[in-house]
Amino acid sequence: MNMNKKLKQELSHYGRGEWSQDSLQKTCAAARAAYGEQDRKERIGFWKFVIRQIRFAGGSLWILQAAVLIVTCLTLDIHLHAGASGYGPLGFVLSLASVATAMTGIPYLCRSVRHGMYETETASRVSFAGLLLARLLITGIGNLIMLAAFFALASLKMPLSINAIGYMLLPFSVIWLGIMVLMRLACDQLLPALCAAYSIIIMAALFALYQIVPQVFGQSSVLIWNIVCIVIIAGLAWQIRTMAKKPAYMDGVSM
Amino acid sequence: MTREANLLKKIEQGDLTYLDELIACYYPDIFRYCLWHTENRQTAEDAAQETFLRFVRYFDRMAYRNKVKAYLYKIAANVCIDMRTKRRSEELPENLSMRERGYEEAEDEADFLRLVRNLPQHQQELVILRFGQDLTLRECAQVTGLPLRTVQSRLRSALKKIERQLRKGGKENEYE
Repeated sequence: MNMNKKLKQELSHYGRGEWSQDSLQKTCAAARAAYGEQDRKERIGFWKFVIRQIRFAGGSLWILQAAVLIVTCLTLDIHLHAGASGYGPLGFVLSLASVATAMTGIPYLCRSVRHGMYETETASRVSFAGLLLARLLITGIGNLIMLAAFFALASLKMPLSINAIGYMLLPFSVIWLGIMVLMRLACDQLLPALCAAYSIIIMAALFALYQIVPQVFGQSSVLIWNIVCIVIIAGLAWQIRTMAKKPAYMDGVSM
Repeated sequence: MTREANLLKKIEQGDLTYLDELIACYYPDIFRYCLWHTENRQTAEDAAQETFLRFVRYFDRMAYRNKVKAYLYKIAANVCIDMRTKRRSEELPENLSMRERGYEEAEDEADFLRLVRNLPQHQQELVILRFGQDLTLRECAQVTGLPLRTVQSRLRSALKKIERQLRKGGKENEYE
């Protein structure tokens, strides 16, 4: 007889018929009781969840983003009035503004870690990927409006080609990529501080770059900014996909 | 819609008769699986019960909607590990001889059981799931969280080991 068949025949007899009807009944009764104790929650769709998130925390995020938008627009306007013209200075201020834009999302994205709320949130019958996507969407809408406003303001001062958007998108995506990596790997209350420190370092690096090699912000470098930007955005997309599976700080959450 | 999906939908709607039906459908197999991993019938019954209780508690999770069988085996495996860990930490030194009781019983039952018990843990688990519980290779992979190819190679290696042991025991003629 074939080895597999023989093994199956021998092993499949083990324990067969040893269970009792009584223990099955007890299990059914215990399961019914446990089912009754469960607090059944209404299942909600993704868009309904997004609307709830906006009502829950999105409003305050957008107020913060609006405040940062106004302050940055005023700073940008003063800076441009003070004589900053040409691609170099404009590229530099736009890149700094995009870092400030990306930083507005940190408190919102890290709020669950800060308040240790993941247990509650994963119990809301929305997957972690759904939760993350909702947050990225809410933060992203505000950020896009901010970036568009900065670009429009800069365009009023000096006609800019659409390619100049790379000055903003590259630092913006670098910040988001870093935040995603930190969120995926970091597992403690320091996460918001780490994200903020990372953003400040990028801001300082941009400043140093402008001081040491101002040509980097020149018109001739726009193409390079855009190419690097595409690579970073691809990395960011991959990072979000990886993170949606399960970040490090979710390890303590019972699944 | 499969019968399983239909049962889950009815349970979700609060009809607990279908919960009983689902438990009755899987209880014998889960009990047998727990019996493999526990010392005696009583502990296996406790483990099987705990498996279904955990299943009910985590029922809301959507991830396992289409693979209830694999999900139940995964829970059962965790329950058995938890019970073994708990027993070890509670065990007094004078009770240590009790740990081998199950193995001795298996020795009396059949050579195959003894040979399976003697396999390394990772191979033993797969042999039990595949041949003892009649799970498909895909289901074995889902339960253990291993890639399908790893499951296949480990099973192949386990079978070779069993075959070698049988030959050593002078039983080669039986399978030729």
